[in-house]
Formats: sequence, C-alpha cells, structure tokens
Amino acid sequence: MYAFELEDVMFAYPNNIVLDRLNFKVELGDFVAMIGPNGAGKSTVLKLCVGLLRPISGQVKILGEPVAAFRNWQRIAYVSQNPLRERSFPATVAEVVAMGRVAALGMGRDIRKEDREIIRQSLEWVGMYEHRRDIIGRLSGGQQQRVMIARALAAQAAILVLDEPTAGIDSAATDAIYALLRKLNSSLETTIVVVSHDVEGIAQYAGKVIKINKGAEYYGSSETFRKPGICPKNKGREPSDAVGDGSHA
Amino acid sequence: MPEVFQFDFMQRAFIAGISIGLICPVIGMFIIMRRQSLIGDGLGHIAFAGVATGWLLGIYPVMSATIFTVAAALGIEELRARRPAFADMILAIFFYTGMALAVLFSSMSRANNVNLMSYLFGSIVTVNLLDVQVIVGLAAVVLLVMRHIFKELVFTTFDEEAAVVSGLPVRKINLVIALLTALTVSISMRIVGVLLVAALMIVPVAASLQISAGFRNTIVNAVLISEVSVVSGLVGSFYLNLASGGTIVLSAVFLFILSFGLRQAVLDRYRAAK
Repeated sequence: MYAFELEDVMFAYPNNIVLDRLNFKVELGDFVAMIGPNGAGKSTVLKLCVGLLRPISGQVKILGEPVAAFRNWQRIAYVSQNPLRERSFPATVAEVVAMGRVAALGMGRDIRKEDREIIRQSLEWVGMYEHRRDIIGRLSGGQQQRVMIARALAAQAAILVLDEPTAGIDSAATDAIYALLRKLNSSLETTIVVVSHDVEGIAQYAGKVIKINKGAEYYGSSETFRKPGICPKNKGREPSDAVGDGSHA
Repeated sequence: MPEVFQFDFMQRAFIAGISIGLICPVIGMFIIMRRQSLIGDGLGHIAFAGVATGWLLGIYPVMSATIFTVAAALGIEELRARRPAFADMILAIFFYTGMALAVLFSSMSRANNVNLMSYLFGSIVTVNLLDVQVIVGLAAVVLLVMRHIFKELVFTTFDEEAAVVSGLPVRKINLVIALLTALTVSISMRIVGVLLVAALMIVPVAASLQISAGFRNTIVNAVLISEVSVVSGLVGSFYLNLASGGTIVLSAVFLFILSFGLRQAVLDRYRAAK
C-alpha cells in the first residue's frame, strides 16, 4: 500500500511551469525527505499530496484512492510552513494540541476524558507536557514545531506531512526536530514526508530522499544519496539521537 | 430599585444590550484572529443601507438591514475565497457601496433625521418590544451555532490549511462565521448604532487579550468586559442623556486602556525582577 502515488503530475502557475511529469510513490512507513533548490516546487508537491492543490494533468492518489475521491482525511496530518499565522493567537499549548482531536470528534461534540488522555500522551511524547499551559505564540520556533507535531499525534494520523518545519530554527533545535520525526517513524511507524532546505541535515535522518526540480531528479535511499558526489552539500554531519526539547530557537 | 431600572424603555435596553454584549466579543474574537477586524465596519455601513431601504419600502428596518448584511457577508466571503489576495479591496468596495446606497435611499425615503440618527449612533429610547424579541432571538441563534461549531471554528481560524487537510468543511465554516457576523451587526445596531457596532466586537477582545491566557479565557474575559461596558454605557446614556453607542464604546475603550496599563505594569515589574 502506498501513502502517496504521483503519476505524470503537471502543475503550473500562469507563465510558470512548476512541475513537469513528476512521478514517485511513498510507501506506508517510509520517512521521506523532500529537498531541492528554492522555487523547485517542493511545497507545491506537498500541497498536491494532501489535496490543497490539484494538478493540471496527471494523477495523485492517497492510500490508493484518487485525491478527489479520498475521504479518510483523518489518517493524514499536515503541518504548514507557517502554522502560527497570527502570533497574538492566545491559545495555550494544550488548546492547540486539542485541535488534533477535532476531526475525529465531529461537530457538536466536546473533548472527552479519553481525548484529554490522548492530548496528554501526545504532549509527553514530544516533551512539551510541562509547557501545556503556555501560550503558543510565546514559545520558540522549535517548541512551536513540537507542539504542531503533538497536534498531529493527537489526531492519531498514520501519515504526517510537514512543510519546512525547521525554517528559521537554529541547528540544535533542527536536529532535535529531525530526531523526533525519526523516533515517530521508527516507534509508531508513522509515514513521514518532510520538505526541507537543509539537505545535509535531513538526509541523515530520513530513510529516503527525493530531490525535486520540476521533476524528481533523485529518489532513493538516503544512504546512497549521502555518498560523495550525489548529495550537494554532504559534509558528513552526524545524526543525533538526542530528541531534546527543541527550545534553542 | 434605582431609577434607571424603573423605566420600561431602560429594561428593554438592558435586555437587548446584555444580549449583544454577549455575542459581539465572541464573534469579534474570531474576526480579529482572522485579521478581518474591518469587516464589522463594512457590514455596519451596509446595514445602514438596509435601514434606509426599510424606511423607503415601509418594512421593519432591522429585517431589511439583516437581509442586506447577510447578502453582503456571503458575497464578501465568496469573493475573498476566490481572490484572497484582494480581500481588503473587496471589503472596501462593499463598504463604499453600502454607504452610497444608504445616502441614496435615505434621501429618497425622506425619513426624519431623528429616526435615522437612532440607527447611526444607537438609541435606548427607541428600542421597542419587537426589537428586543428580535435581538434576543437572533442572539440565541448566534450563540447556539457558535456552541455547535466552536472547536471547528477555533481550528480553522488557527490553521486553515491543516483544518482543510484534516477533512473539516472549512468553506462552509467560513460562510457560517460570515453569516453570524452579519446577524450580530444587524441586531447590535439598535443599541450601539451602525457606526460603532464593530467597536463592541473589537475593543473588549483587544482589552481581554492584554490580560488573558488561553483562547477560552480570552473569550470569557472579553464577554465580561463587554457586559460591563454595555451596562455602564447604558447607565451613562440614561443619566447624561447621550447616545448609547458613544457611552458604551467609550466605556469599552476605558477598560482597554486600563487593561493595557495593567499589562504594562506587570511587564515592567517582571523586567525589573529580572
């Protein structure tokens, strides 16, 4: 079973072809890093995968179903590039993570005791339980991303899609986020697709790498990708197992 | 019993005022967080066109204002969804169209100035029993709908893209909040007036944001600030013989200055302790 299948996908804005016959498949349980230069179409691919954009031609499938027919959205969690659009949003960390339960609960139903337990576990999993009463806008960038990952955990999604989760975050907090994603992938078998501009960093944590530049220039194991001559900036940075609290941003 | 509560018209004004004091900040919280603070002003002007139309056609002005604001709110939301980059411009066009229609219809209807002024600036003496029934009824509808979709509304307001991906009907939720904003504007104008209706949505929330932590707490405190503003504003309007819209909004602004000062004092003390 594939989490995502893209077949001959084309996408363009007026006078700008962003993707040209893109093909790739993400297997369930994969940890895929999507890299590429600025403007290569990485975020566009991610938005096509989760149905936020529709291709001009070609087909996108989620869990074997064409995106237009897909209804099981609760299996997917998406963390956008700038999830905290309004920094003055007064929600606490616990309130943000509770948003992960909204789709599962349905309209008119309040958070139940078992939902609170899921929220607590999700916060503990990402090391943010002590911050549950803090206002989200007052946290560091790394901590905010952890909260967004906790929200995805609370949704109990099988597939987690993240668009540049480490943008604007220092290297220590970046490594902690990557390590957390790897732990999520290995412990809970969550499928992870993450866009990153940090080629040398993410390639050391992900199982597979896809390099986007209008099409897929490379798609294979990160181990092969990291061999000299393939990874554009591989300077041998070693992966870290320390999840940390990501509070260094 | 104090004199202010002995008159029928004041009792009607308090019932209507407390009802709008409850719903205005709840709606206001979401429009502020969606960066649509000016939509209340825009719809207020459109509501005035509806009032003038009501006078012209001889129908209940609150009803015609409700029809105008609901139609405009749905139109604004539809265009905003299609062309998000032009959201401000779209709102401005609706705003000016509403004002132009108001000027046109009010000059055609030859409604006397006192009646129109009561809708522009709010008036406690002109609130009749039908107004109270409509205000309380529609306020109850707004609250019940908000209660039903509250958590979906919070998620959509916080992170619209993630809400779409999780399968929430974000498009419908956005239309519902636009509709509820329109209803709130049209029922609040009898008390605070079309020119100041948006202030009761925005100022109590702005004050609450200074002193509250957490989304729900911020809403609860905003409602308290709003109710204090409404009650003190109505009392001030009664004893000073001033338009209720002005006294209510100035009460809210006073509470905002107070809460802003309180926050600064706490921050200064925190910095000094560091």
